[in-house]
Amino acid sequence: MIKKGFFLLVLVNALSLFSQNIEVKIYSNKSTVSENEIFKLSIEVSNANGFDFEEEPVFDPSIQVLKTEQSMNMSIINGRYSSSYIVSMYLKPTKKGIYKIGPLKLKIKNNIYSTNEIEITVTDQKIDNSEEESRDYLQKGADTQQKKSKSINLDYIIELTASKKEVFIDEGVDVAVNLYIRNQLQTINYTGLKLPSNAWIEKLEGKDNYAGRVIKNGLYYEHYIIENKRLFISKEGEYEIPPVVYNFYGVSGSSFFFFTEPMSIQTDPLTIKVKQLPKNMPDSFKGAVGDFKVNYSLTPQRLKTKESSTLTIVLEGEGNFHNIKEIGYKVYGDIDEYSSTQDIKTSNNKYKIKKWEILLVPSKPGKHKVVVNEFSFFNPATKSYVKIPAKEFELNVEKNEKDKDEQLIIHNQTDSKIDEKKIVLTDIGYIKTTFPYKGNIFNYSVWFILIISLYAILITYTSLFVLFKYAIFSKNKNIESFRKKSAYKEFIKEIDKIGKISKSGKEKIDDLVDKIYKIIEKYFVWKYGIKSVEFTSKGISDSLSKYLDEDKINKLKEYILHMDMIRFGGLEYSRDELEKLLNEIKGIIKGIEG
Amino acid sequence: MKKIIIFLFFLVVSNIYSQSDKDIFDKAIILYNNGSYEEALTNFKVLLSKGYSNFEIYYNIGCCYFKLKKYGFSRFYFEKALIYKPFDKDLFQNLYVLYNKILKNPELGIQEIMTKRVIYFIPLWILMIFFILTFLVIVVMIIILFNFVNLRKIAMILISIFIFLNLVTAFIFFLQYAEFNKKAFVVTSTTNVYLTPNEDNIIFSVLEGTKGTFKEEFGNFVKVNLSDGTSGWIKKDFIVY
Repeated sequence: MIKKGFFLLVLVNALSLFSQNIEVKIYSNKSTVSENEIFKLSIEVSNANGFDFEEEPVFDPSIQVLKTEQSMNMSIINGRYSSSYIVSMYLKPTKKGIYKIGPLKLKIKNNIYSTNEIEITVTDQKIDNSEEESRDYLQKGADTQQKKSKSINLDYIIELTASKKEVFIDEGVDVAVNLYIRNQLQTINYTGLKLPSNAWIEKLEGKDNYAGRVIKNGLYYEHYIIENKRLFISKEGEYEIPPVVYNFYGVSGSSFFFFTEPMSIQTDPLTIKVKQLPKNMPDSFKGAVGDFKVNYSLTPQRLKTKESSTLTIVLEGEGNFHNIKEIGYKVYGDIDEYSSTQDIKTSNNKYKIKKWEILLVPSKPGKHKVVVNEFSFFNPATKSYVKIPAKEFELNVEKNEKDKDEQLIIHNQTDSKIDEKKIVLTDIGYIKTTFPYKGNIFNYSVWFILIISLYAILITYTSLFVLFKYAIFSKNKNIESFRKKSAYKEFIKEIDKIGKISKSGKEKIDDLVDKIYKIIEKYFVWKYGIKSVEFTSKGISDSLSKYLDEDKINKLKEYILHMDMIRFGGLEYSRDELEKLLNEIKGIIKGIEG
Repeated sequence: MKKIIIFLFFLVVSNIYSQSDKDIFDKAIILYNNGSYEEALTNFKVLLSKGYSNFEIYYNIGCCYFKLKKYGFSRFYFEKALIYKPFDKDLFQNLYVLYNKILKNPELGIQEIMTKRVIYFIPLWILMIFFILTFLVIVVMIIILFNFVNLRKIAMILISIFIFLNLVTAFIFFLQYAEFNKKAFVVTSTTNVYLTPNEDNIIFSVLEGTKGTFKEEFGNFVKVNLSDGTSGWIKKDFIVY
């Protein structure tokens, strides 16, 4: 019975589907969005179980597709069945403009359907969208300037705050990004604070970024400080910190029926005005802005020559410590100075301590004066300059009995870490007055190009030479014709070389004659392409009778015999006679060459 | 031969200073002594643009910037001068004073000078003469290697020795060249260092005079490797390199 009923229901539905018209819709949850604000684009098909895109939707490059999801709705109202299939895309535009989306072509049961075209306006301003229950919160605190913020619904609020709206040059201002939440979220991305380029930035860190539970507009929120930085801006002007955008998956819907979806919230921009410092600054003012205290000490104040006393200057407070290089001091008398600056110590994020320790070593007895200079700073709270007067110490130095010793005696100070001691100088030396030589030749750029060029030339020429001589040349198929052509040239070159060696008297006559054999053989091998020539009467006739006439062969035999006599027969031969022999051999070969 | 002589003559003549350049130099000295550092600086820079790229000009420009309290520029020019005369006592003193003003740990600056003294121990002119000589010997030996069979062994040995010497010379030169050309200095009182060449992600801030090695340029930003091992992008307007 149940089976039959179910079958009937399916049949009715199927019939009703066929009988109902298919409708295609495209719509967005927002028609106007701001840059980087996520919106939802839905393509809905009624009375169909699904669809395919005929062509995949193509969006403008400045629109990013973050996520796509599908859903299906079915309903039976008064016995009438209806269904719809929805594809939703979460899109994020990154540039302002008017974007047209569609018409999109959908394929449903082999038929092509087309959606309408919709228009989305993207602005660079934040929009007041009442549809989303967005609200701007403006809260004015007593000592803080609360900035405008935007929330996607009452559950998520983001605010960009500054401790002061107007500051003086180099006065510290704390900028924080605060997130207030009443529901869970999962971060997609967060565009951080973009702070002015010429600001000194210090990160203010807490244990974690959770700041506790707060009440806002009658509702409890968990408060998180996402970023917290202290800025010291060194130039006058108005500085705008652009809005911070926070994208996340948040919870939407009612407490009964809720779902997560991508959300985007952003702050308003924040403007900080930086003012010039008042002009009535004291002479001792060197740019310190904040609230400072200075402590000095000189211990011991009674000592002997070559012993050391430590002058300690401690600067503490809140302010632009990074700009305070030194608190000057003057030493009167014959005293060597050795200095050490300690790093800034920070306590409670903002309160800092900077300490200088100067080791003073008097070399002569007497009463010496040590003066720590006046220190002045601008206190933004009172809007006035504060002078901390100079402090004078007297150093009573007695003569040391061990004065002759060159060793330095150091009183062991508390945590002094002076390892290497250098004399502190305060000003630079004189400029150079000698008119210089115009150093064009010894210029790094010129030599750089020259060295590279020389290496390139050397490598290129050597490579080409080697390539030509060994690689290309040896593989040349016409090597035989080349040898034939250059046999005589090579012969003359080598015979002349023998002549020079003979004149120099470096080698014996026998050895030279040996070389002449080889040169003559090389000539015939190259000239006629034969393997070798045996220099006997029979050997010469066998090898060369094809190429030379009888007369020339006989003449050659005659000289070979003559040379054999020098080598093996003990015929004494002078170097002049050898030279004559060389000329005669040259003559025979010249005759062969014609 | 004639052409070479003419070329050398012009080379020598072009390097002899003109009287007007000397006048500019003298005027700059007077201006400096009178406390007109800005005007003195302009005159020294005129000479620099005329090709007087040497110790005295870089040193004096460094002094002018120091007096004008532009310590980033001052360090840039003093350290350029150090390349030409790494053992000059006045320069050492000036740099020491400057490092005390701008560096948290002035000893790091002194170490920097010592490193430079090692790198620039051999002056450029000696280095270049040695390079040319070794190069010529290599060329001659290559010619001998391919043309004189009897001298091949000696030629091979000499080529190996002189190639080694030449490469060592070239290595020292390139070391000096890199040091000379690839340094960048922060010239504003403070500036931010970014992770990418835009203003999105600040890593940290640096003070005037902070030194780094120039790596690359992208739009309005320059990538710099800082001496503490960190690196990042700094706005072009805020550094000199």
